Amino acid sequence: MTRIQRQYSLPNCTLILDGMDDPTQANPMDLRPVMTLLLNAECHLGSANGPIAGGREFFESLVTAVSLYAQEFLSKIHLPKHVYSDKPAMVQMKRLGDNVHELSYQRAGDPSQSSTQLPKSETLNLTTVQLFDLVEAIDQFVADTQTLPFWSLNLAPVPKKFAPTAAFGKQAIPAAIGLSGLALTALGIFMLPIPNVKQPDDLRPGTPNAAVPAPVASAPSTSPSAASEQIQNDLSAVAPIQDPAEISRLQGGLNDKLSAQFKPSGKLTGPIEYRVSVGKDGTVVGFQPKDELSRMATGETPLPGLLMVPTSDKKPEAIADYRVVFTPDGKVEVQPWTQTTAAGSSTVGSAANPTVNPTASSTISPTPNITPSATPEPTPIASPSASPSPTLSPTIGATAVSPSTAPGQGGEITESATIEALQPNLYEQIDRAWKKSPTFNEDLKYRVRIGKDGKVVSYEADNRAARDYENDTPLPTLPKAKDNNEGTASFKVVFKPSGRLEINPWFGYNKP
Amino acid sequence: MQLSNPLDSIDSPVILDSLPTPTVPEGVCPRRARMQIDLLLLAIEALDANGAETILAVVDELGLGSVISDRVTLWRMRSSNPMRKLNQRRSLSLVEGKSLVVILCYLARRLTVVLRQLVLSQQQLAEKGQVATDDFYLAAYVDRFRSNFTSRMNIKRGTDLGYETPEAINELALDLLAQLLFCTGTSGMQRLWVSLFDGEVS
Repeated sequence: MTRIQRQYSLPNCTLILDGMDDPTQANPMDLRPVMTLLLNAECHLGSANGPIAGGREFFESLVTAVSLYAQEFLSKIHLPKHVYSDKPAMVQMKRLGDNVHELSYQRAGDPSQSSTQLPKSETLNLTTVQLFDLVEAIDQFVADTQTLPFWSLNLAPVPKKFAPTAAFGKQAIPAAIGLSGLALTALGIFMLPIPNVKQPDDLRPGTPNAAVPAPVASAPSTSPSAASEQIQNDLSAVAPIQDPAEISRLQGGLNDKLSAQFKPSGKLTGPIEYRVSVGKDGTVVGFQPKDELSRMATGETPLPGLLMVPTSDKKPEAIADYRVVFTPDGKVEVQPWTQTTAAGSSTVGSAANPTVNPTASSTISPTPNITPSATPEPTPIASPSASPSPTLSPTIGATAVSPSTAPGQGGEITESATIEALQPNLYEQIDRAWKKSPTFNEDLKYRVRIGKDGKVVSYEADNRAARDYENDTPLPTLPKAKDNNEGTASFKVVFKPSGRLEINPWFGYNKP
Repeated sequence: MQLSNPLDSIDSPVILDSLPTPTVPEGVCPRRARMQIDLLLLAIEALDANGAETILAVVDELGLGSVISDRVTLWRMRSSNPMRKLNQRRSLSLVEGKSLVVILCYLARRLTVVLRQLVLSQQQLAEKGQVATDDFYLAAYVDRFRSNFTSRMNIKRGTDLGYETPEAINELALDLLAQLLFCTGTSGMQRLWVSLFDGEVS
């Protein structure tokens, strides 16, 4: 038997193994005989307490602990040491910080240590580089086929059951919240009473209905147009919507709906006109073709599809009427219905409604100089006194009315001086209130009406995005003026996705 | 989802035999392994300015041409990292995973001196109470890593991993540096490969 010493040196760690060879297998010609028996192991880590050392049991424990710790260092998944051995590990490793690794061990073979006492444990703090050198010394020893060749690292991944990782927890939490939310919702719905489905009376043939008597009783499969006419008569009792802002809001919604769905097939030869009633929630509750041609062409329009026939117990509380013109080239014009054209057929659009319909007043010459006889003096403002319809004049009086459909209660302010004075004020108001950072990707355009006192009277969206993102703008929160009778000035307010705010007079600066 | 990758049965380069084949579901590299391999390669690219080209060059050197035939294949393999902006939603077969581990450990070993020096400086700075970026070389590495990371990784997708802030990415860069040092060891390649499956085998 020959005594053999093997040394593995790294800058921060020197591992010295003392052992014997196996004389039965020893080859005298071998310059480096195989060490088969380990007597003592010493590991110098540059610590003040001297090397850590021990016998075979200590060395086995050191290799296992360091090897497992190196794996934990790479994967961040901790494996409890006890899975590999039921004996208390003589060497243990623990991470203390990014760069500090604690190695605790028991000095084996310490003469002062009695078997009944718990062995005294010492700790050593290693830096990452020291730890790497220790791992490397062990690796070099294991790779050395001439030293304890039966040793191997036995590297194996940590089994799933020992890895309830934090990452999994983080992923599981949202899923758990989602599931419990679903469960709660299901429970909530379960608690709700089963709704009592009541068949509407209108659908039962033969049952006379107070509200819709004639067509339902005679023909259960009423054609949409017939039904709508019936409804139209029925709705004439319903109060018209008077609020100009409401009227123009519904007008925009109706225009959007119809324009999106109107696809002329080419059969139309000329424009067709309808009177369309819209409920407060924007649904089409009835429509009436203007003439025989319109009646025949109803199928070409999206109106039958949009019609929501109100039931007797769910009548709209208020409606607004519009004149809708479909043109063969695919355009849809929506204008509020006024008394001038609706005379005799409806109470909707009474004289109290100051809205002037351009179609209705098409006989007014756009420029005052053509009708000098009608106007006492050729003022630059189109005066409604030039209108051939005398029913309009009493309420409107001398107030200037713009040729647009402006439903401003007191008419449109168009004097350049007033507008120029109001504009910075409005800009200041909106700019100060606009705190949200833009979430929209296209310009939001609004027509904002303000009174002479600078307070916002109403606003309406001018494009689709503006309607969708209304709540992202400060407009709904601005203080609104009530009962404005002095006229309003219209401004085009544009919110840009870049955060810019642009305000211009709706009719430009140079409007006469 | 590849249920059986033809590469697993035939034509596996000899160099990959030193790595064991763990029994994982579907026989593909798990999510964390795909992330880890790509991040370690990213760290190598931050250390070696010409890293991307070097990776391609060693493919032939190591005889891995049958697995990584060209630049696009390499890119597709690395893009299996779920954190990538252009995530491929493909899996990474064990042979492909092994190949990338072999390459990255080979490159790490070439950089042993640099890695050791950087980890040492980081530790010395920490002892003096300074931050890692006070060292010129460490700062340069961390900056390069962060810019590569932010340009290629979807930070939002990585939110559950906590890499939203520059500080978190810096920390990741330093962590990867120490991991690369361990890859340079005698059994570093085996240790890294096995650690990729921690908590994934039954």
